[in-house]
Amino acid sequence: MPLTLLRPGEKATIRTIAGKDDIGCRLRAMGLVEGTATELITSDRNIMLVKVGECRLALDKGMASRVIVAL
Amino acid sequence: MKKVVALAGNPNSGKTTLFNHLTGGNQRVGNWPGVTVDKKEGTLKKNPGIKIQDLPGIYSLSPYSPEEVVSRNYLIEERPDLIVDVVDGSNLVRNLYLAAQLAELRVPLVIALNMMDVVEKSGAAIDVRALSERLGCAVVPISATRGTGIDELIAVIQSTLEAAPAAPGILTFSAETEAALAQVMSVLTTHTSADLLRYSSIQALQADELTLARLQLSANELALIDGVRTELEQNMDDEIDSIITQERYEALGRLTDSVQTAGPAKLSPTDRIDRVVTSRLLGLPIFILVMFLVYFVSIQTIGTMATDWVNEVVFGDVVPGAVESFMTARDVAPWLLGLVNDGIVAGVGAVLGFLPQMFVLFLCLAILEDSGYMARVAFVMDRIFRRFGLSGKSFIPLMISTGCSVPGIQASRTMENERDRRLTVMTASFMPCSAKLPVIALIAGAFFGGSAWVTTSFYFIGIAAVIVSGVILKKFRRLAAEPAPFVMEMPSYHAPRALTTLKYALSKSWAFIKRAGTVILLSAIIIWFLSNFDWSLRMVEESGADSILAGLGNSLALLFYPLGFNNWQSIVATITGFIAKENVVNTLGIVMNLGSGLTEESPELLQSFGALLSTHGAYSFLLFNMLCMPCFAAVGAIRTEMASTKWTLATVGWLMGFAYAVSLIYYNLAQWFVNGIFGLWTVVAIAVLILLAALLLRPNKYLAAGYKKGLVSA
Repeated sequence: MPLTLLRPGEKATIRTIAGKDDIGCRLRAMGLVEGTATELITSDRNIMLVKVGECRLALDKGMASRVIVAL
Repeated sequence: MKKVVALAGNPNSGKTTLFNHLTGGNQRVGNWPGVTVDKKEGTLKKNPGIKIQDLPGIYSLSPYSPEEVVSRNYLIEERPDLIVDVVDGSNLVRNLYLAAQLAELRVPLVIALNMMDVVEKSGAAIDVRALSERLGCAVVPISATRGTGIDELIAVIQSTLEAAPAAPGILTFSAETEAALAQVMSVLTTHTSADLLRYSSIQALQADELTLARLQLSANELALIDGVRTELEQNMDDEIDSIITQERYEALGRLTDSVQTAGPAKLSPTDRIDRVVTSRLLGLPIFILVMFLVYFVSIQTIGTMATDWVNEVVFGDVVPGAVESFMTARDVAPWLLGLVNDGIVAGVGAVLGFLPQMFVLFLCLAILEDSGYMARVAFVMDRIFRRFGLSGKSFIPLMISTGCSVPGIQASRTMENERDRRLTVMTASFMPCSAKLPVIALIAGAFFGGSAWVTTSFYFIGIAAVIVSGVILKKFRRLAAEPAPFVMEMPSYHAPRALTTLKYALSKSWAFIKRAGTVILLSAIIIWFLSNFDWSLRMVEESGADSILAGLGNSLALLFYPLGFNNWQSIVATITGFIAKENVVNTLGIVMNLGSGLTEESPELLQSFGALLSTHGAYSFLLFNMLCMPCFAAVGAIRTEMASTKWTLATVGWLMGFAYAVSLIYYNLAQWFVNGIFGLWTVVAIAVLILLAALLLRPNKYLAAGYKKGLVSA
């Protein structure tokens, strides 16, 4: 399921990132890659704060919806 | 010849702090965008033969942001003698991703393994020797914040440079990818140096446009590489960027697993704080509370108390009194006493008196930044800004601009989207910077009974002006773009470091003092001269109405007549404000001949100024001065950030036009509604209002037409 569906406090593992464009590359370069543990910290109307590995990333939901995770 | 060491690393890896340790220089550390985007250089402490080249904080060598492009071009073209990569030990895999790419450049590499104090505190451990063996380069554990391990690092840098070591080991990909890579490498052997062959091949395999352009391949060769790529993508059932990144992370994961042991899992304090501070419900109220506290401390209480003391005691009695008795005792000419006391002391004093307030404001901003809260502001404000097509990231430059527009404008640098960045540069100076506050205080005191609402209103007017300008400007082709997708790393919270924040506030205050001693001193002398002499260079009577300055001001009276402040004093004050906003109050003090020790709260100034303008004229004067072109220093910053005279002129033109339109609308409508005066200018004001509304509401034709992508590709 997409990262956007996580509830605050829920933990999941990244499965894949959809899309071939620059944004996908950028997300991967920032550590959003298969097998990384993530946790949703807070989520707002169009932006969310997630923990990815050991760091925290703020990303908008357009990007987050392309990150596919498994619980 | 000088040896060159390039300092690379992720944002927030502590690179700037390490740079300061290595060079002994006086820079500052920060989380907000743009702190290290300059090409900062220094020489190694105690060894001027080694140059340290600081690179901007980057996550990879892929060209997604201007920082990455700058770093990549530098490393490929300049080829430093050594790269020191600052790696955050508490976030090893992510940070080694960059190290793996740096290793591919075949430049000797030393890893500065930073934040070892954090690693140890969390109960984790890293086997440094094993890591060094696996990476094939020296690894030096350090803690930049505590200053430990720095001497060892310097020793390793020096010995590595002397030994002329081999390049570091490289990560290998899966057998399939390596086979594809070998094919590309065989195509590229004649196009690039042996050192850059593997790096260029990986980039070419990833279809990196900058690399392909640099290699100058024939159509045949390009087709060959395309074929290799397509085949690999089909075999792996994934697209190329994902394959490469994924395999790099997998290799790094195996590498780090063998060298580090994790500490006990627990919810970190940062996450607990973020649950509250960035939450949907409390994020905005907390932000407003924080901002209120900042301005309460710096403007309402501590800062202002100190400023009042300096104004009233130091520049009110002590200095002018001393100057007067010194000069009278030596029987100097009265005009010289006038120049020193009424020109220099009054002018520069009015500005310097403001220093304590500014220092406290900058200290507060530095604390917000150093603690990690500033990055959360972008997160919290994105919700509101995105509705108007603006990015939350542009709020950080706006906040910094409340201290001073110059660093505010510079802070726009790391916004990825060039159009968002231009827009932020164009509008950051709408915020009331600390130098504009005395102007507001003067008008509020003279016309509105010192109401705090007048000051507060200008923060909201500033934000409103940013939003309105943003919406209007985004409809022009050169600026049309959806805000860039938002990704931003949120640093961990930590207690603000006294030294870092004090250094920042002191360096900003020092810049302010320097300005008072140069630009403002010179303006004060010139203004004093122009307001005390007439065209035949004779000294004029008290009122100054025959002075050169009055003549100049009067010649522009027609232009400002529709705005309601057509007396020469306020026009001249406005114009000298273009040099520095501090000049507005200082000029009024000089031209009204009120003598030294004048502050924005002096009753004489309030009284004589009150006689010059109507209430609406005064607020219109204030509106114009707040929104129009910023001081020369800020225009210089705009020029640097835009790197284009055309854009700079467009910015100044927009700011002037917008300020003029707002003042025009305000003054004439107020005259009509409150005083019942309806004339030609009321009609013009209504027309301008309708024009602005039309610009604001017209559909954005460029967004629909596929101008959505605004990512830079330098």
